[in-house]
Amino acid sequence: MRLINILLLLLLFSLASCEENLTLDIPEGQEQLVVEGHIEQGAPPVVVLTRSLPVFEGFSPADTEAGFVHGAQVVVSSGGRSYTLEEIPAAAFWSELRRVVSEQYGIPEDQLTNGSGFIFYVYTSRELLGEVGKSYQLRISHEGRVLSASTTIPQLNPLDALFLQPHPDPDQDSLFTLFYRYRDPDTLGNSVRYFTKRNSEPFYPGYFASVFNDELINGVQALSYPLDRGEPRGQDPDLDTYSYFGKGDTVVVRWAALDLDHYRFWYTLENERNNNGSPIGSPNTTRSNIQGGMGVWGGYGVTYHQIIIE
Amino acid sequence: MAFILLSAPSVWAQDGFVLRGRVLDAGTGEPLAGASVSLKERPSVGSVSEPDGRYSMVAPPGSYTLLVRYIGYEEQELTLLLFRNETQDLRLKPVSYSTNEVEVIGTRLKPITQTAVMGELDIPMESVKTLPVLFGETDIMKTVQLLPGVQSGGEGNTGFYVRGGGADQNLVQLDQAVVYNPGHLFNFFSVFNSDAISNATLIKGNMPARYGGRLSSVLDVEMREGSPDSLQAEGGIGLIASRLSVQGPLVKDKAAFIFSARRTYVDVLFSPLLRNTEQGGVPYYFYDFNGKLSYTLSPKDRLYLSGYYGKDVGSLKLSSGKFVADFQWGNAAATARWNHRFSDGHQVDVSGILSDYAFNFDWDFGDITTTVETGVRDYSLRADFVYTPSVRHQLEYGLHYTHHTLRPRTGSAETAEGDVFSTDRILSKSAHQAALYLSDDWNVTDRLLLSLGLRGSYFVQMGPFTFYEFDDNQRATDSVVYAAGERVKDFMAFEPRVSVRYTLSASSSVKASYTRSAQYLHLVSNAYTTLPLDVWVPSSAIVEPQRATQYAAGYFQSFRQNMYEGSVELYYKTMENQLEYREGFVAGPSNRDLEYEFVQGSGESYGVELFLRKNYGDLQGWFGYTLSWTDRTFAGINQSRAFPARFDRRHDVSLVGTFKLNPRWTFGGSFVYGTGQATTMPERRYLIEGTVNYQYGDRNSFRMQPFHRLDLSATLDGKSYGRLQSSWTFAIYNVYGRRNPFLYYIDSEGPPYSTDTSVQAKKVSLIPFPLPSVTFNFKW
Repeated sequence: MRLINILLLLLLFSLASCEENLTLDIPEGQEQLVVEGHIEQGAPPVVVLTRSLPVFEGFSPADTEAGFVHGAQVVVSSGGRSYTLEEIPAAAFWSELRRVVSEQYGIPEDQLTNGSGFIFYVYTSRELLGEVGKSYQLRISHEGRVLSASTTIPQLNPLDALFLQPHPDPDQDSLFTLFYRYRDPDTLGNSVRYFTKRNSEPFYPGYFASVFNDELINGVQALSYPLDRGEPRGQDPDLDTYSYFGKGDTVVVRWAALDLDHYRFWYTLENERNNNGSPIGSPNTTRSNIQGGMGVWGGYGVTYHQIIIE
Repeated sequence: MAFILLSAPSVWAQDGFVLRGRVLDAGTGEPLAGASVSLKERPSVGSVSEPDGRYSMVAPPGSYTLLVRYIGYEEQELTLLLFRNETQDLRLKPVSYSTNEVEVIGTRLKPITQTAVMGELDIPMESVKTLPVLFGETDIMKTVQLLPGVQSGGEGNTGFYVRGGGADQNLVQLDQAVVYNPGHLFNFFSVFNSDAISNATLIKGNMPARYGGRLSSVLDVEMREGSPDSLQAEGGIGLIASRLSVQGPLVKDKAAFIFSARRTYVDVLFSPLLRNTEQGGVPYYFYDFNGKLSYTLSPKDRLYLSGYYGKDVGSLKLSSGKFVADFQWGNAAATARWNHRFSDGHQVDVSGILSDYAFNFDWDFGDITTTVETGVRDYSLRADFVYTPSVRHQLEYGLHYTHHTLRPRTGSAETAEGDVFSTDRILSKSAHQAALYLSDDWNVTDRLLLSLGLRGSYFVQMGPFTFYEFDDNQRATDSVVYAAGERVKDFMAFEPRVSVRYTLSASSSVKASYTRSAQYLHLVSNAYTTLPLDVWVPSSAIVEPQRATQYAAGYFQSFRQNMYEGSVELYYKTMENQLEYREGFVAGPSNRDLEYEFVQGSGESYGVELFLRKNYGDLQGWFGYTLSWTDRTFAGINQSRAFPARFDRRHDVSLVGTFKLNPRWTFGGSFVYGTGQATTMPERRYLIEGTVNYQYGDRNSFRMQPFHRLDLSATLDGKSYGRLQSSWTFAIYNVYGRRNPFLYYIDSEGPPYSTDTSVQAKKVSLIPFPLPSVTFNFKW
C-alpha cells in the first residue's frame, strides 16, 4: 500500500508543484533520551544513548559529542541475571565489538578505531553474549529519568537461497537484481530485517524497506522476491542503479529475525522517512518500544548468506 | 349547493386560497427553478419556484396581478381571481439571445430570508460557469468552497469541510444517488459536469429530515432534464478536457432526453513536458457520462431515469518495465424515479437507486502480480411524500432503505509459480440501512414558521463477519464468527430536526435550529486530501456510528427587493464517535480490517458566518467570512489532549464577483483567504543508524502560512449564427502567483554519522504560478 501511495503521488506532483526553503520558528520541545540498542546471538549487547536536539541546532563535532549521554546506569537482565553495561568510546573498541557495531549501525570498521576522530560511544558488557530464544530487559537511569524496554532474539529464520536475474534492459547487462527464496515457518509473526554488503562496504539495511513480516505470507513454502541493495541513508539513491548489484560483486546478505515490537519500530520509522514531505500519510508514525524515551531496544537472530556475481 | 356548504368550512377555516403551478421555459418546456412569483397587491406574499418549477402561495380571496420574474426571461404579469384554490402554470419566454439583450448573468436563488432551512444555499449554476477555475474546468464543488462555513480541501482541490466536519461527513448526491468519491484526479476536478447539472443545493447542518446518513452537510445535485421541444447541443473545448451534451424530445411533449460526455486529455497534454522523465508522459485520463430520460406517463405521473458513469484510468511503468501498474477508479449511479401526484397538494416520488464506487490497482513486480481493490455498492429504494393538507402545513414523510456492500481494501498477489497470497481475513461487509421520517413546515402565524422533523434510522451489520481480538503483538487471540445473513450488530438513532423562522418584516427574519444526526458509514483519511483508495467502512461490531448535535441561530435581511441579501449565522456543534487512525498507524498491507486501526473520539466546532450577496444587476457576487474553531479529542492521540482539527481555520474569507461589462463581455473573479493550515511539525531531531529522525510537537500545533489566491476570468459571447451561439472563457488561476503552502516538512541531507548534515524546512506549493486557460463553449 505504501507503494501505491508513492506512485499515486508521482501522478499528483506531475501536475505542477514547487518546493522552496523556508525559515520556521519552531518551539524547542522537550529533550528526550534516545536509545539505539541491539543484542544478537553470540555478541555482546550494544546500547547507544543520545539525547534529542532542537531540530535546527547543533551540527558541530562539539554538539555531536554533547549529544551522547555519559554516565548513565545501563543494565541488561536476562534469565534472572543482571549485567551492568560500561561506556566505551569508539577509540577503545576491541575488534569483535568493532565488527558488531559496524554491522549493526552501518559504520565502516576503520572509523571505529583510535585516531579516526569519529565520535561514538556505546554501552556494552564483556560478560553477556546474546542467545537465540532468550529475552533481554533493558533498564536505563540517568539524572532521574528511567527508561525501560524488553526484546528477544527470535529463533533463526534463514532464507533458502539467493539467486540473480539480469536487468530488464539488455543494454544494462552488467547489472543484476538479487532475489531471495524464503520458506516461512508456520507460526504467524515472523519478521526479518535485512542488510546487504557489497565487497568491502559495510552492511547497509534496505533503503526504502528493510523489514518484512509474514502477516500475508504466513507458512509460505517457497517465496521468491527481489531484494534491493542496501544503501546509506541521508542521500538520494541513484535511480538508474538503485536496487541492482553489479557484475563481479561479492554480496553478503545479513538476514536478521526480529520480534514484532522490534519489527514495528523499523517499519514505522521507514514509513515516516519515506513519507516525509509527502501529502499522503501523516508524519510522526515511529513507534518506539522504549518506555520513557525514544528509539529501540531490539534483538537480532542473524544468519549470513553469500552470492558472487560472475 | 349542499356540496359547497359541506366543503366550505374547511376552506374558510384557512385564511385564503392556494395558488400553485409550475414555472416553465416557454421555448423548451424545461422547469425553471428559482423564479420569483409574487402578487403585486400583496408584496408580502410570494414564492420561489422549486427545482421542478413548482411554486405555491396562499392569499386571501381577491383579484390580483401575478408578477413572475426570472433572470434571462421576460417578466410576465397576469391578472387572476382567487376565489378558490387555483392551479396556474406560467410559461416564460427567454430574452432573446440573438439580440444580446441579456442584461445580467442570472442567479436563481430563493431569498434567504424566506427559506425555512438554516444554512441552506442554492448554488447558482450561472456563476459556477462564469467564475474562474483551474484549467477553465467549471465545477460546482469549487463554487461550494467559496460559501461561508465551507472550507476547501486545499489548493485546486474539490474536497470540502463544513462547519468542522470531516471530509466523509458530506452527503453528496446526484439525482438521489450517493456519490462516494466525488473527485477526479485526486479531487482536482469533481465528477459533476456542469453542462449536465440543473441545480445544486448545499445544506450546512440543519438538514431536513428527508436527508440522513451524514453529519455535516448535504450537497444535493440534480441533473438537467432534456428539452421536450427541440433538439439542442452544447459543449466546450478546454485546455485539458472537452464536453458535449445533446438533448431533445424523444416523444413530443411526452419524453425528453439529455446525454452529456466529458473526457480529459491530460495524457496527451502533459506528455511533452515529461518526455525526459522516467515516466515519459502521463498515461492518465478520466471521462464521465451523464444521461437522463424524463417521460410524462400521464398528467399525474412522470418517470425519470438518470445515470452517471465515470472513471479515472491510468498506468505507470517504472525501472525499465521492472514495475508495471494499471489503475482505475470511478463512480456509477443510476436512479429510476416515478413522480405521482395524488392531488394538487399530495405527491410521491418513488425511486430505485444504484450507487457504486470501485477502485482497482494492479501491478507486476518481481514476477508477482498484485491487485488491490476497494469499493462500495448500494442498492436503495425510497418513497418520499409531500403533502400539503392545508395552507398552514406542508408535510414531508417517507421511507428509505439501502443495502450496502462495502469492499474494504483487499489485496492479493500471485507468484509466477501460481502461489496466491491475499488479505483473506478481510471480507466485504454487508449492511442494511433504513430510515423513516416525518416533517412538517408549520406556518403557525403569518410570521412564525416552525419546521419540525424527526428521522428514525436503523442500521444493521450482517454476516459473514469475524470479529477478532488481538493481543499486544497484534496477533489474533480470539474470534467470534458470524455466518452469512446473521445479524452482527445493529444501531438505532432518533434524529430530531427542529427549526424556527420568525419573520420580522418583509425583508428580515430570524431563524434558529437544532439538529441531531447519525452517520453509519465512515471514511478516514490520513492524507491531506481523501484519496481514491480510501476506504468506506460501515458501523459495525468494531466502529460505532458517528453522531452530531448542532445548534444554530441567525439573522437574515434582504435589501431593495432582494437585490442584496445578507445573513449572520452562529453555530455550535458537537460530534461523537469521530474517527482517526491510532497514533503510529502506517497504511501498509495488512490482513486485518482497517477498523481495528481506528480510534474514536469527540469533536467540537463553533463559529460565526457572515454572508452578503448581490443577486441582480451587472455586478453580482458575494462576500463570505467565517470565524470558527474546530478541535478533536481522542484517547491515545496527542496524549489524549484536544488538538485543532486539520481543517480548523480561524478566518476564512471569500469574495466572489461577476461583472457584465456589455452584452458581449462578462468578467468574473474570486479571492480567497484562509488562516494557515494546522500541521504537526518536528521540534527536535535524533539519530538512528546515523540518520536524522524527528521528535514531533503536539498534533496540529503548528500553523502554516495563510492561504490566499486571486483568480480572474473573462467571457466573450460570440456572435450567433442562426441557432449557433458560442463563447470564449479566458481565465487566470492564481493571478499573482501566490505560493500557497500545500505542506511543510523538514528535510535532512548528508551522509550518516556526518557533521555535514544539513536540516532545512521546506514548503511545497502546488500551482505556484499564474496559470492561464482558455475554453471555447458552444450551444446549438
